[in-house]
Amino acid sequence: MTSISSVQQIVATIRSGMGGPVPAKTGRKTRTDSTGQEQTGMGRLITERIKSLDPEDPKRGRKAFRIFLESVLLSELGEGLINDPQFYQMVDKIQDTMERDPRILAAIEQATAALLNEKPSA
Amino acid sequence: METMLSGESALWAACKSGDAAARERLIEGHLVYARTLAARMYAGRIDHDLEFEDYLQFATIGLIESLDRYDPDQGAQFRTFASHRINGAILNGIENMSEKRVQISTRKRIESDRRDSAAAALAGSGLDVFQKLADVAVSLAMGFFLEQPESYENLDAHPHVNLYSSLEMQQLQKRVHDLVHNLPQKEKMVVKYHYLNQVPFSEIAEIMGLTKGRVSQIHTNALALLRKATKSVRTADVAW
Repeated sequence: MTSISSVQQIVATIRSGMGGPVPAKTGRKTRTDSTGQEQTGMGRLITERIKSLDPEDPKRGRKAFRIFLESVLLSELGEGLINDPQFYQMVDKIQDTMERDPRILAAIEQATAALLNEKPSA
Repeated sequence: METMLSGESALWAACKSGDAAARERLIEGHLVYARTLAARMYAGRIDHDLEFEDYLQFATIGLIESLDRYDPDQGAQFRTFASHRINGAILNGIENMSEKRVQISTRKRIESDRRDSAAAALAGSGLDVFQKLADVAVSLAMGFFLEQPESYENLDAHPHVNLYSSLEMQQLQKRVHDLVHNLPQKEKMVVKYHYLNQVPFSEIAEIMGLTKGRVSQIHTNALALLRKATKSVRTADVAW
Protein backbone atom coordinates (compact mmCIF):
# COMPACT_ATOMS: atom_id res chain seq x y z
CA MET A 1 0.00 0.00 0.00
CA THR A 2 1.27 3.50 -0.72
CA SER A 3 2.27 4.61 2.73
CA ILE A 4 1.02 7.82 4.21
CA SER A 5 4.57 9.10 4.23
CA SER A 6 4.89 8.39 0.50
CA VAL A 7 1.72 10.30 -0.32
CA GLN A 8 2.74 13.14 1.93
CA GLN A 9 6.18 13.21 0.33
CA ILE A 10 4.60 13.42 -3.11
CA VAL A 11 2.31 16.23 -1.95
CA ALA A 12 5.18 18.10 -0.30
CA THR A 13 7.31 17.80 -3.43
CA ILE A 14 4.52 19.07 -5.67
CA ARG A 15 3.60 21.92 -3.33
CA SER A 16 7.13 23.14 -2.98
CA GLY A 17 7.55 22.96 -6.76
CA MET A 18 4.37 24.99 -7.21
CA GLY A 19 5.87 27.80 -5.18
CA GLY A 20 4.30 26.90 -1.88
CA PRO A 21 5.94 27.11 1.49
CA VAL A 22 9.32 25.46 1.37
CA PRO A 23 10.96 24.37 4.60
CA ALA A 24 13.71 26.69 5.75
CA LYS A 25 17.18 25.71 4.61
CA THR A 26 18.91 23.60 7.16
CA GLY A 27 22.21 23.21 5.47
CA ARG A 28 21.28 19.95 3.76
CA LYS A 29 22.76 19.57 0.30
CA THR A 30 19.75 17.80 -1.23
CA ARG A 31 16.13 17.06 -0.44
CA THR A 32 15.88 13.90 1.55
CA ASP A 33 13.16 11.37 2.17
CA SER A 34 11.76 10.25 5.49
CA THR A 35 14.68 7.92 6.05
CA GLY A 36 17.17 10.66 5.41
CA GLN A 37 18.20 9.35 1.97
CA GLU A 38 18.68 11.63 -1.00
CA GLN A 39 15.68 12.22 -3.18
CA THR A 40 15.93 9.83 -6.13
CA GLY A 41 14.04 8.82 -9.29
CA MET A 42 10.46 9.83 -8.74
CA GLY A 43 11.10 12.76 -6.42
CA ARG A 44 13.32 14.33 -9.05
CA LEU A 45 10.80 13.50 -11.77
CA ILE A 46 7.99 15.24 -9.91
CA THR A 47 10.14 18.31 -9.37
CA GLU A 48 11.05 18.46 -13.05
CA ARG A 49 7.47 18.01 -14.19
CA ILE A 50 6.17 20.67 -11.83
CA LYS A 51 8.83 23.08 -13.02
CA SER A 52 7.69 22.55 -16.61
CA LEU A 53 4.17 23.82 -15.81
CA ASP A 54 3.41 27.28 -17.15
CA PRO A 55 2.46 29.55 -14.22
CA GLU A 56 -0.13 31.21 -16.47
CA ASP A 57 -1.68 27.93 -17.62
CA PRO A 58 -5.37 27.95 -16.61
CA LYS A 59 -5.24 24.16 -16.39
CA ARG A 60 -2.29 24.26 -14.04
CA GLY A 61 -4.31 22.86 -11.14
CA ARG A 62 -5.59 19.89 -13.11
CA LYS A 63 -2.10 19.21 -14.42
CA ALA A 64 -0.67 19.37 -10.90
CA PHE A 65 -3.30 16.87 -9.74
CA ARG A 66 -2.41 14.67 -12.71
CA ILE A 67 1.23 14.69 -11.58
CA PHE A 68 0.02 13.69 -8.11
CA LEU A 69 -2.01 10.81 -9.57
CA GLU A 70 0.82 9.52 -11.74
CA SER A 71 3.26 9.75 -8.85
CA VAL A 72 0.99 7.90 -6.44
CA LEU A 73 0.36 5.13 -8.96
CA LEU A 74 4.03 4.78 -9.88
CA SER A 75 4.88 4.66 -6.19
CA GLU A 76 2.27 1.94 -5.65
CA LEU A 77 2.73 -0.11 -8.80
CA GLY A 78 6.38 0.34 -9.65
CA GLU A 79 8.46 3.03 -11.31
CA GLY A 80 9.21 0.61 -14.14
CA LEU A 81 5.87 1.64 -15.65
CA ILE A 82 7.08 5.18 -16.21
CA ASN A 83 7.78 4.69 -19.92
CA ASP A 84 4.75 2.52 -20.62
CA PRO A 85 2.08 4.11 -22.85
CA GLN A 86 -0.56 1.82 -21.33
CA PHE A 87 0.23 3.21 -17.89
CA TYR A 88 -0.70 6.71 -19.07
CA GLN A 89 -3.81 5.34 -20.77
CA MET A 90 -4.74 3.84 -17.41
CA VAL A 91 -4.13 7.16 -15.62
CA ASP A 92 -6.33 8.93 -18.20
CA LYS A 93 -9.13 6.51 -17.47
CA ILE A 94 -8.71 6.75 -13.71
CA GLN A 95 -8.67 10.55 -13.73
CA ASP A 96 -11.72 10.64 -15.99
CA THR A 97 -13.60 8.20 -13.75
CA MET A 98 -12.70 10.20 -10.64
CA GLU A 99 -13.79 13.49 -12.17
CA ARG A 100 -17.16 12.08 -13.20
CA ASP A 101 -18.13 11.34 -9.60
CA PRO A 102 -19.29 14.52 -7.80
CA ARG A 103 -18.05 13.26 -4.41
CA ILE A 104 -14.59 12.46 -5.72
CA LEU A 105 -14.52 15.64 -7.81
CA ALA A 106 -15.15 17.73 -4.70
CA ALA A 107 -12.19 16.05 -3.01
CA ILE A 108 -10.05 16.61 -6.12
CA GLU A 109 -10.90 20.32 -6.08
CA GLN A 110 -9.93 20.50 -2.43
CA ALA A 111 -6.66 18.69 -3.13
CA THR A 112 -5.91 20.81 -6.20
CA ALA A 113 -6.44 24.01 -4.23
CA ALA A 114 -4.01 22.70 -1.63
CA LEU A 115 -1.46 21.84 -4.31
CA LEU A 116 -1.77 25.36 -5.72
CA ASN A 117 -1.71 26.79 -2.20
CA GLU A 118 -5.11 28.38 -2.80
CA LYS A 119 -8.36 28.33 -0.90
CA PRO A 120 -10.83 25.86 -2.45
CA SER A 121 -13.65 27.49 -4.44
CA ALA A 122 -17.09 27.47 -2.79
CA MET B 1 -49.31 -4.66 -53.76
CA GLU B 2 -47.80 -6.33 -56.82
CA THR B 3 -47.38 -3.18 -58.90
CA MET B 4 -44.51 -2.75 -61.33
CA LEU B 5 -42.71 0.33 -62.51
CA SER B 6 -43.20 1.28 -66.12
CA GLY B 7 -40.56 -0.42 -68.22
CA GLU B 8 -39.38 -2.37 -65.21
CA SER B 9 -38.41 -5.49 -67.16
CA ALA B 10 -36.02 -3.43 -69.28
CA LEU B 11 -34.66 -1.74 -66.19
CA TRP B 12 -33.95 -5.11 -64.57
CA ALA B 13 -32.18 -6.34 -67.67
CA ALA B 14 -30.04 -3.19 -67.73
CA CYS B 15 -29.41 -3.33 -63.98
CA LYS B 16 -28.27 -6.95 -64.09
CA SER B 17 -25.87 -6.10 -66.91
CA GLY B 18 -24.25 -3.44 -64.71
CA ASP B 19 -26.14 -0.27 -65.61
CA ALA B 20 -25.83 1.92 -62.49
CA ALA B 21 -28.50 4.38 -63.67
CA ALA B 22 -31.01 1.54 -64.09
CA ARG B 23 -30.16 0.28 -60.61
CA GLU B 24 -30.72 3.77 -59.20
CA ARG B 25 -34.11 4.05 -60.99
CA LEU B 26 -35.18 0.71 -59.54
CA ILE B 27 -34.18 1.76 -56.02
CA GLU B 28 -36.01 5.07 -56.35
CA GLY B 29 -39.03 3.35 -57.86
CA HIS B 30 -39.39 0.91 -54.97
CA LEU B 31 -38.44 3.29 -52.20
CA VAL B 32 -42.09 4.17 -51.56
CA TYR B 33 -42.80 0.46 -51.11
CA ALA B 34 -39.96 0.16 -48.60
CA ARG B 35 -41.36 3.20 -46.78
CA THR B 36 -44.80 1.55 -46.69
CA LEU B 37 -43.34 -1.59 -45.09
CA ALA B 38 -41.36 0.53 -42.61
CA ALA B 39 -44.52 2.45 -41.69
CA ARG B 40 -46.45 -0.80 -41.19
CA MET B 41 -43.76 -2.16 -38.87
CA TYR B 42 -43.50 1.19 -37.08
CA ALA B 43 -47.27 1.26 -36.48
CA GLY B 44 -47.11 -2.16 -34.80
CA ARG B 45 -43.92 -1.49 -32.83
CA ILE B 46 -43.53 -2.57 -29.23
CA ASP B 47 -40.20 -0.77 -28.80
CA HIS B 48 -40.85 2.96 -28.54
CA ASP B 49 -37.23 4.09 -28.37
CA LEU B 50 -36.54 4.06 -32.09
CA GLU B 51 -37.71 6.79 -34.49
CA PHE B 52 -39.50 6.19 -37.79
CA GLU B 53 -36.33 7.38 -39.54
CA ASP B 54 -34.50 4.38 -38.04
CA TYR B 55 -37.15 1.98 -39.42
CA LEU B 56 -36.91 3.69 -42.81
CA GLN B 57 -33.13 3.39 -42.82
CA PHE B 58 -33.32 -0.37 -42.06
CA ALA B 59 -35.99 -0.81 -44.77
CA THR B 60 -33.85 1.02 -47.33
CA ILE B 61 -30.91 -1.26 -46.54
CA GLY B 62 -33.24 -4.26 -47.00
CA LEU B 63 -34.45 -2.86 -50.32
CA ILE B 64 -30.92 -2.42 -51.67
CA GLU B 65 -29.93 -5.92 -50.55
CA SER B 66 -33.04 -7.30 -52.25
CA LEU B 67 -32.25 -5.48 -55.45
CA ASP B 68 -28.77 -6.99 -55.59
CA ARG B 69 -30.01 -10.50 -54.90
CA TYR B 70 -33.19 -10.55 -57.00
CA ASP B 71 -33.19 -12.67 -60.13
CA PRO B 72 -36.01 -11.66 -62.53
CA ASP B 73 -35.67 -14.95 -64.40
CA GLN B 74 -37.00 -16.85 -61.38
CA GLY B 75 -40.47 -15.50 -62.15
CA ALA B 76 -41.33 -13.93 -58.79
CA GLN B 77 -42.45 -10.33 -58.55
CA PHE B 78 -39.70 -8.14 -57.09
CA ARG B 79 -41.90 -6.74 -54.33
CA THR B 80 -42.93 -10.23 -53.23
CA PHE B 81 -39.25 -11.18 -53.06
CA ALA B 82 -38.21 -7.92 -51.40
CA SER B 83 -40.94 -7.77 -48.75
CA HIS B 84 -39.41 -10.65 -46.72
CA ARG B 85 -35.94 -9.18 -46.91
CA ILE B 86 -37.06 -5.63 -46.05
CA ASN B 87 -39.10 -6.81 -43.06
CA GLY B 88 -36.16 -8.97 -42.00
CA ALA B 89 -33.76 -6.02 -42.31
CA ILE B 90 -36.03 -3.90 -40.11
CA LEU B 91 -36.26 -6.62 -37.46
CA ASN B 92 -32.48 -7.18 -37.55
CA GLY B 93 -31.89 -3.45 -37.25
CA ILE B 94 -34.21 -3.17 -34.25
CA GLU B 95 -32.53 -6.13 -32.59
CA ASN B 96 -29.02 -4.75 -33.14
CA MET B 97 -30.01 -1.30 -31.86
CA SER B 98 -31.65 -2.86 -28.81
CA GLU B 99 -28.58 -4.98 -28.08
CA LYS B 100 -26.34 -1.94 -28.33
CA ARG B 101 -28.61 0.01 -26.01
CA VAL B 102 -28.56 -2.82 -23.49
CA GLN B 103 -24.76 -3.01 -23.74
CA ILE B 104 -24.39 0.75 -23.26
CA SER B 105 -26.82 0.73 -20.35
CA THR B 106 -25.01 -2.19 -18.67
CA ARG B 107 -21.66 -0.50 -19.20
CA LYS B 108 -22.93 2.69 -17.57
CA ARG B 109 -24.24 0.73 -14.57
CA ILE B 110 -20.92 -1.08 -14.19
CA GLU B 111 -18.98 2.20 -14.32
CA SER B 112 -21.36 3.74 -11.80
CA ASP B 113 -20.91 0.71 -9.49
CA ARG B 114 -17.14 1.11 -9.66
CA ARG B 115 -17.25 4.86 -8.97
CA ASP B 116 -19.52 4.27 -5.97
CA SER B 117 -17.24 1.56 -4.68
CA ALA B 118 -14.11 3.70 -5.17
CA ALA B 119 -15.77 6.71 -3.55
CA ALA B 120 -16.23 4.63 -0.39
CA ALA B 121 -12.56 5.37 0.33
CA LEU B 122 -13.52 9.04 0.81
CA ALA B 123 -15.87 8.22 3.65
CA GLY B 124 -13.16 7.01 6.02
CA SER B 125 -12.09 9.41 8.70
CA GLY B 126 -8.63 10.08 9.98
CA LEU B 127 -6.92 10.32 6.62
CA ASP B 128 -6.23 13.51 4.73
CA VAL B 129 -7.77 14.20 1.35
CA PHE B 130 -4.61 13.26 -0.54
CA GLN B 131 -4.40 9.86 1.11
CA LYS B 132 -8.08 9.25 0.39
CA LEU B 133 -7.66 10.23 -3.25
CA ALA B 134 -4.58 8.03 -3.51
CA ASP B 135 -6.65 5.11 -2.19
CA VAL B 136 -9.40 5.83 -4.72
CA ALA B 137 -6.88 5.96 -7.58
CA VAL B 138 -5.13 2.72 -6.63
CA SER B 139 -8.48 0.98 -6.19
CA LEU B 140 -9.48 2.07 -9.71
CA ALA B 141 -6.09 0.88 -11.00
CA MET B 142 -6.78 -2.60 -9.59
CA GLY B 143 -10.09 -2.53 -11.47
CA PHE B 144 -8.29 -1.46 -14.64
CA PHE B 145 -5.97 -4.48 -14.43
CA LEU B 146 -8.86 -6.85 -13.76
CA GLU B 147 -10.74 -5.51 -16.73
CA GLN B 148 -7.93 -6.30 -19.15
CA PRO B 149 -8.39 -9.60 -20.98
CA GLU B 150 -6.20 -12.46 -19.80
CA SER B 151 -3.82 -13.07 -22.69
CA TYR B 152 -0.55 -13.62 -20.97
CA GLU B 153 0.45 -17.08 -22.11
CA ASN B 154 4.16 -17.34 -22.77
CA LEU B 155 4.87 -13.75 -21.82
CA ASP B 156 8.55 -14.59 -21.58
CA ALA B 157 8.55 -16.20 -24.98
CA HIS B 158 6.61 -13.38 -26.61
CA PRO B 159 7.49 -10.14 -24.87
CA HIS B 160 6.35 -8.24 -27.96
CA VAL B 161 2.78 -9.56 -27.59
CA ASN B 162 1.54 -6.00 -27.09
CA LEU B 163 3.87 -3.46 -28.61
CA TYR B 164 2.11 -0.63 -26.81
CA SER B 165 2.59 -2.08 -23.37
CA SER B 166 5.78 -2.94 -21.56
CA LEU B 167 6.44 -6.37 -20.20
CA GLU B 168 6.17 -4.95 -16.68
CA MET B 169 2.63 -3.67 -17.23
CA GLN B 170 1.60 -7.03 -18.69
CA GLN B 171 3.21 -8.91 -15.81
CA LEU B 172 1.45 -6.66 -13.34
CA GLN B 173 -1.90 -7.40 -14.99
CA LYS B 174 -1.15 -11.10 -14.94
CA ARG B 175 -0.16 -10.91 -11.27
CA VAL B 176 -3.44 -9.22 -10.34
CA HIS B 177 -5.43 -11.82 -12.30
CA ASP B 178 -3.48 -14.65 -10.64
CA LEU B 179 -4.09 -13.20 -7.18
CA VAL B 180 -7.86 -13.34 -7.73
CA HIS B 181 -7.63 -17.11 -7.16
CA ASN B 182 -6.33 -16.49 -3.63
CA LEU B 183 -9.21 -14.21 -2.62
CA PRO B 184 -11.85 -15.40 -0.12
CA GLN B 185 -14.79 -17.10 -1.82
CA LYS B 186 -17.24 -14.16 -1.83
CA GLU B 187 -14.62 -11.65 -2.97
CA LYS B 188 -13.53 -14.03 -5.72
CA MET B 189 -17.12 -14.49 -6.91
CA VAL B 190 -17.84 -10.76 -7.01
CA VAL B 191 -14.62 -10.03 -8.92
CA LYS B 192 -15.27 -12.81 -11.41
CA TYR B 193 -18.88 -11.83 -12.03
CA HIS B 194 -18.15 -8.13 -12.23
CA TYR B 195 -14.91 -8.00 -14.21
CA LEU B 196 -14.79 -11.24 -16.15
CA ASN B 197 -18.50 -11.45 -16.97
CA GLN B 198 -19.33 -7.73 -16.81
CA VAL B 199 -22.26 -8.19 -14.42
CA PRO B 200 -23.49 -5.07 -12.53
CA PHE B 201 -23.64 -5.18 -8.72
CA SER B 202 -27.46 -5.37 -8.59
CA GLU B 203 -27.48 -8.61 -10.63
CA ILE B 204 -24.61 -10.05 -8.59
CA ALA B 205 -26.63 -9.23 -5.46
CA GLU B 206 -29.55 -11.27 -6.83
CA ILE B 207 -27.32 -14.18 -7.79
CA MET B 208 -25.58 -14.27 -4.40
CA GLY B 209 -28.67 -13.45 -2.31
CA LEU B 210 -27.11 -10.27 -0.90
CA THR B 211 -27.93 -6.57 -0.99
CA LYS B 212 -26.30 -4.37 -3.61
CA GLY B 213 -24.61 -2.43 -0.81
CA ARG B 214 -23.09 -5.62 0.56
CA VAL B 215 -21.78 -6.56 -2.89
CA SER B 216 -20.20 -3.11 -3.14
CA GLN B 217 -18.51 -3.66 0.24
CA ILE B 218 -17.22 -7.08 -0.85
CA HIS B 219 -15.95 -5.52 -4.07
CA THR B 220 -14.12 -2.77 -2.16
CA ASN B 221 -12.60 -5.36 0.14
CA ALA B 222 -11.56 -7.55 -2.80
CA LEU B 223 -9.69 -4.65 -4.42
CA ALA B 224 -8.03 -3.77 -1.10
CA LEU B 225 -6.85 -7.38 -0.70
CA LEU B 226 -5.59 -7.48 -4.28
CA ARG B 227 -3.77 -4.20 -3.71
CA LYS B 228 -2.09 -5.54 -0.60
CA ALA B 229 -1.16 -8.83 -2.25
CA THR B 230 0.14 -7.11 -5.38
CA LYS B 231 2.28 -4.84 -3.27
CA SER B 232 3.66 -7.69 -1.22
CA VAL B 233 4.83 -9.65 -4.27
CA ARG B 234 6.26 -6.67 -6.09
CA THR B 235 9.95 -7.28 -6.48
CA ALA B 236 11.29 -3.76 -6.74
CA ASP B 237 10.13 -1.23 -4.19
CA VAL B 238 10.00 2.50 -4.63
CA ALA B 239 13.19 4.42 -4.02
CA TRP B 240 12.80 7.90 -2.67
